[in-house]
Amino acid sequence: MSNKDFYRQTFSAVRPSDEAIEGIREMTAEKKRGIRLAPVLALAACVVLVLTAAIGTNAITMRMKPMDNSFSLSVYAMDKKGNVTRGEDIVRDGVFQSNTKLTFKWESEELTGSDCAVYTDYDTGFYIESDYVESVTYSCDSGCFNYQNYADDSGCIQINECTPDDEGTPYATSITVLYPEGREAHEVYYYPKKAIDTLLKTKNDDYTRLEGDTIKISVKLRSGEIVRKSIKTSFDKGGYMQMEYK
Amino acid sequence: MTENEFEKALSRNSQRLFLIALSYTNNPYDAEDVMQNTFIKLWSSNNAFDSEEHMDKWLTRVCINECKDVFRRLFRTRSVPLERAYDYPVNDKHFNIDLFNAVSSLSKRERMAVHFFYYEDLSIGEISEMTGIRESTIKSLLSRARKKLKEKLGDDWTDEQ
Repeated sequence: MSNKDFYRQTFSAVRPSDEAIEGIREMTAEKKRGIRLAPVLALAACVVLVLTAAIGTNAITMRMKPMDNSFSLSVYAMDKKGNVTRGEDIVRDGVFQSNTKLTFKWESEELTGSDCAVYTDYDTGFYIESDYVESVTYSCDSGCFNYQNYADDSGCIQINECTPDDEGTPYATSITVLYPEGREAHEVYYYPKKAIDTLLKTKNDDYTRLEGDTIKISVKLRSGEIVRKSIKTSFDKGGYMQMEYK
Repeated sequence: MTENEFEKALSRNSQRLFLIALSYTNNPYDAEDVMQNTFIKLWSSNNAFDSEEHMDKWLTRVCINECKDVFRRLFRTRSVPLERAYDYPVNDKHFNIDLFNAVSSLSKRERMAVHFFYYEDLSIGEISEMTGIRESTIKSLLSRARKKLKEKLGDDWTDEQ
């Protein structure tokens, strides 16, 4: 038998699940229903938008009123079920107002599951919001960063240091986020690459031995002042990542 | 596009797109997501296709782009399959688990080159056009992959190109 026949025979037997195919039919059926529901949903969306705008304006005003060199640093993690752990620190005159210790839930049950794929779903991010920030540089030793740029302006991100893995996927070990006037919202994701690579290679469930990291955040304010913060990460017995402000 | 046309496209391409996505992602769950997103894009598109072949090529390109998005979303989801994680047809007499595992152990780009060459029956030039990877790179990926498959499969994998 030729290699082509051998390959085709084997892979012709591999099929997507019936559920996945049925899912496509359901999703396309929903889209059809969506057209009929569009006017009602549009009205509902308007109401939500108005409410959100009102709430959002209040929140930002409350945050930014006191000082002209303040900014808020939010650190958060979302697990696969959408549960969010979030910590927020207000920085005034270059001083962080709290020394927070946060524990981020890792889907440890999934990691040790035996009847399905192992998922290391991770969504740990930083979000710095201010009118007074010029740029923020994030760097780390054994993890990497990605970002979500709401302003859809990729020019706001500079990759400073990047390490490709075996397959050439770039991992940014240091990035700088620029904050031009009028562009405030950037989320930066942190991914504990070395720890997860170790876990995937060894299937070791002793999470406390996984590599921790030090994430350094350097915030340059428009006044020229630079505020630095380090966040130390580690893993507890349950596989939950700890982040501790230093 | 009518529902009938969509159903035909689904039955003609679902397995094919799933396998292309599997060759990129090496993960059946991600591959199913990619396949689903590709068909949703077909349903939502207003493209007028000249022929079934035209539509199938368009679907392949969309599928490849969706696969690339999976890697862009790497930071949000990482997964690794366990043994017996997915309902592979291990009892099917045509399914060779050794070949399947040997292909799974190739690098992402080697898997993709092998799949387009051996399953989709594309020429090196066509693979290059479809994936945006240079022909010389495709040749060297295929050469490396063949060597690895030969090492793992022995006489089951012949020396032919």
